[in-house]
Amino acid sequence: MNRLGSKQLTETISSAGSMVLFLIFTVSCLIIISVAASAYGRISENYDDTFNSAAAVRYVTNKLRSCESAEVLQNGDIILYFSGYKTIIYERGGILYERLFPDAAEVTAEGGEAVFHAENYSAELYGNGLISVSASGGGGDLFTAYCRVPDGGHT
Amino acid sequence: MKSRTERPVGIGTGYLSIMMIFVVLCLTMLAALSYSTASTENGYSQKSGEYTKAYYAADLSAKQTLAAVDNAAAKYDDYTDFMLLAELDEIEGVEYTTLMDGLEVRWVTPVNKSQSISSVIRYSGVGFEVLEWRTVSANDPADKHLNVWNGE
Amino acid sequence: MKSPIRPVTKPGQFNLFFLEMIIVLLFFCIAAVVILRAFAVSDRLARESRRTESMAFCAQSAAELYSETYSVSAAAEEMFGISGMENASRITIPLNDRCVYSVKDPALFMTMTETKENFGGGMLFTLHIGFENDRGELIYEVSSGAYRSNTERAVV
Repeated sequence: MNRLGSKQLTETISSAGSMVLFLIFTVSCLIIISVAASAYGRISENYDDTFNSAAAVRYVTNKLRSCESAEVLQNGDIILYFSGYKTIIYERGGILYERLFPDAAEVTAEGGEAVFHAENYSAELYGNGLISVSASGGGGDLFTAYCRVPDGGHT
Repeated sequence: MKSRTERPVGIGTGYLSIMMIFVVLCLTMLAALSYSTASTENGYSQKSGEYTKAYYAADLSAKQTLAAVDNAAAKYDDYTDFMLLAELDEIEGVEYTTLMDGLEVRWVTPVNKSQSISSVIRYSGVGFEVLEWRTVSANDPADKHLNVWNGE
Repeated sequence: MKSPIRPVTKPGQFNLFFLEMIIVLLFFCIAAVVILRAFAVSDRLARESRRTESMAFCAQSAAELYSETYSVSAAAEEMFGISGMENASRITIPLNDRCVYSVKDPALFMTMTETKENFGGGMLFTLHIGFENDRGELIYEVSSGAYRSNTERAVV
C-alpha cells in the first residue's frame, strides 16, 4: 500500500510538473509573439512616418525648388506658379492636398487630390525667400526642412 | 472507479510540437514582414539622402559657375563687350544673349539622370539679377508648358 | 513476484513528454536565434533609415540657412538654438539619432565647415556638412555653397 501511495504521488507530481511546464511554454510563446508583433508594429509605424510625413515634406520642398515663384498664405497653404499653370498645396484634417489650376483661374483650397498623410503640417515664409516646411508622423516625430524659393517668396 | 482515481493528468505527446510549429511560423512571418518593411524604408531613405547630396553638389557647382561668370563680368563696365563675351565662351556650359541694356547668361547643371538646375541671370546696371534658379527635367530644360484644361 | 498494481497509462509517457519538451525547446531555440537576428537586423535598418532621413533634412536646412546667413554659427543658432560661437568657421554639434541637439546623449556629431574663396566679382562660400557616429565614422555628408556678389542684387 505504501508503495502504491508513493507511486501515485510521483505520478501526480509528474503530471503537475508537465502541466506547469506546458503552461510556462505557452505563456512564453504568447509573450514572444506579442513582443514580435510590437516590434513589427514599431517598424511599420516608422515606415508610415517615412512614407507620409517625411515624404510630404520632401515633396513640398521639391515642388518649391522646381517652381518659378511661390506664395505662402497665412494658414500655411502654398501657391506655386509654373509656366502655364499654378498649383496649390494645402493641408486639411491631417491630409496634404494638391490641386492644379490654369494660369487665369482663381485658386481655391478645395477639391484637391490627397497626396500624403501629414499631421501638424505647416509652411512658413522665413526671411529672404526661405520657407520652412514641417510635418509630423503618427510616431510624433517632426520632420522640418528649409527650402529657398527662386523669387524670394511672398505672403 | 479505480481507473478514474489513478489516471494521471498529463499532456499528451504532439501538442507541444504543434504549438511550437505554430509559434515559429508566426514569428517567421512577423520577422519576414519586418525585414521587408525595414528594407524598403531603408532603400527609400538612402535614395532621398543621395538625392539631397546630389542636389546640393549640383547647386554648389552652379554657384561656382555663377562665381566664374560674375568674376568675368566684374571686369567690364559694358556687358556687351566682346572681350567679356569671349571670356564667357571659355566657361563650360554657359550660354548668353546680349540685350539692349545688358546681358542674359544661362547654364544648366545636372543633378542626376532626370533632373538639372537651370540658372538664368541678367546683367544690367551695376550687377546681376537672378531670373531663374530652379530644378527642371533633364530631358526638357525649358520645362515646357503643361497642357492644363483652362475651362473653355 | 510481479506487482499487481499496473499504471493506467503506458509506461514511460512522462518521459516521452519531457523528451518532446527537450526537442521542442532545442528546435525553438535554434529558430528563435535566426528569427531574433532577423528582427535585430530589421530594427537596425529601420533606425538607420530614420537617422538617414533626419540627417538629410538636417543637412538641407543647414545648407539653406547658411546660404541665407553666410555664417556657420548663425545657421547653427537658427537650427539648434546654440549661441556663443560667432565667427567660427567650423562647428561640431552633438545630436541624438533624430538630429535634435543633445549634449547628454549624443549619437551623432554634425560638423559644419566653411571655406571662402574670393573671386574678382564676389565671394564663394562652401559649406561641408558631415555626420559622424559615436565611433567617429563618417556616415553622411553634403557639400553646399552660397555666392555673394560684390554688386549683388539677389541672394543665391
